[in-house]
Amino acid sequence: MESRIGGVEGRKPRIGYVPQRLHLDLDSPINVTDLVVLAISKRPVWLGVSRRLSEEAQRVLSVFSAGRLAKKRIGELSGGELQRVLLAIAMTAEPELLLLDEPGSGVDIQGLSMFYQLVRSLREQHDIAVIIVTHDLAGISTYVDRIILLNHSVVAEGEPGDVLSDEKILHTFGPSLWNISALPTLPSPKEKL
Amino acid sequence: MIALWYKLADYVLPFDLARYIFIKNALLAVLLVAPIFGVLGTMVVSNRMVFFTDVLGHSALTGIAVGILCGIHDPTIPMITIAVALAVLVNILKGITHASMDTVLGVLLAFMIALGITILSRRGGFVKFTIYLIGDILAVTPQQIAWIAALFVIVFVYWCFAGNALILTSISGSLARSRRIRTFLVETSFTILLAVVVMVAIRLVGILIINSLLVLPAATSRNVARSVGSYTALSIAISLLSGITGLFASYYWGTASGATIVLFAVGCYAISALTGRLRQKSFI
Repeated sequence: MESRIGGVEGRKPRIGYVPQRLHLDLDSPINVTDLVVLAISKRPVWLGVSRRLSEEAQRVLSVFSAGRLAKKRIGELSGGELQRVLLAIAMTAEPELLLLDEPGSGVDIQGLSMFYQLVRSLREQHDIAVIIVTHDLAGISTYVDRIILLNHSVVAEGEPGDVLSDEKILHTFGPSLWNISALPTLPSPKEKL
Repeated sequence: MIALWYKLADYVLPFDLARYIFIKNALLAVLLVAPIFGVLGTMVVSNRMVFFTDVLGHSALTGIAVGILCGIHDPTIPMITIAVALAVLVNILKGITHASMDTVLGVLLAFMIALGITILSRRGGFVKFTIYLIGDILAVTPQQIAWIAALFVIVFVYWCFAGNALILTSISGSLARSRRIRTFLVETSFTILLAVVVMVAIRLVGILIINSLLVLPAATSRNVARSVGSYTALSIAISLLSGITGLFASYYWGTASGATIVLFAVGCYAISALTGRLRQKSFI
């Protein structure tokens, strides 16, 4: 993969990746501290986590106001909490490119807009490029510079205002875009913030 | 080395057991095999490989048969070769097949057992191989113990270097790949190590129950553990506990050691499942 990110041509960018909730084994007997330590240290986690590493994990988490989650099993986190933890872990890679895969799954509207704001402030503070893969067109449109609509190939590309007002696109993507002015997504009843 | 263990065992074991060299050998074998199984089992359970390890165990039949066809006296090498080939094959199939892995493994299981039995039963000779089905830990030789000790060291070193990568891969393959972990290499090396361990241990515990010993301690631990450290430590502890109590009980009861050990492990699992449930209820 050739890229110009980071200003150096031909070098692979450092990527911070936030996987889909669906692609995580949430039954795993692993707590949040373990997961962070896996990312920041080479020390074998199965031998137990030293106090120093545990404190370091705590620091990483508290930046994303997730410090109190340190001892929870990942399966016990709410959708929003899990996203914050995964984002904290992605940022430990000091990424030049942040890749978020369906960050909205399992998160309610309020939590999601807080999450988008968090990502936007990260982008401004750390000067990183962010790509968000999502079905939540309506929710995302106020937070992004560009939208690329994909349906097997690129259907449309441009600034949110232009893309989402194009009648041809409105026709292709149908009801999902007509709903923008109404309620975009339903909060999942289990979600607690 | 082994002489040192015999001396030590005189102090540890009750008098009536300390008289027998074979008990001392068996106990040492259990003390080495149990932690290996406890550690490897955590990944077998986390990666949902329980059915795969069952197929792996049964492939020993094919390994023994191939050894006999080739005229090799000690079947260990052909057994390991077949098992490692199977492990690599399954890993490759996992990446390319569209069929459910469950079905693929079912077909492989049938093939491995049928091929093994067909060859071994030629001229009604299967009876002399039944020892492989239930195993005999009391017949373990110092040479076999040396093999197991070597594996003990290898597994420990491997887990120190590859453990983190394995854990992250089992939680999310895509997250692991984004951290530059070569997940195929990690998973394949793990299954190869698993294949070697299972084949070396199968003489002790038998084809029929080796999978239970691999799976039960980790499954038990998973019911109650809340971190990777406690998951691993508890799995090792349960493996050792059921191994030692099962070995002594089998001696006093005059039963097969492997099966008796498994019964104790099942007991541990039942208790952990109950405590796990009770704890969950108290959360609500």
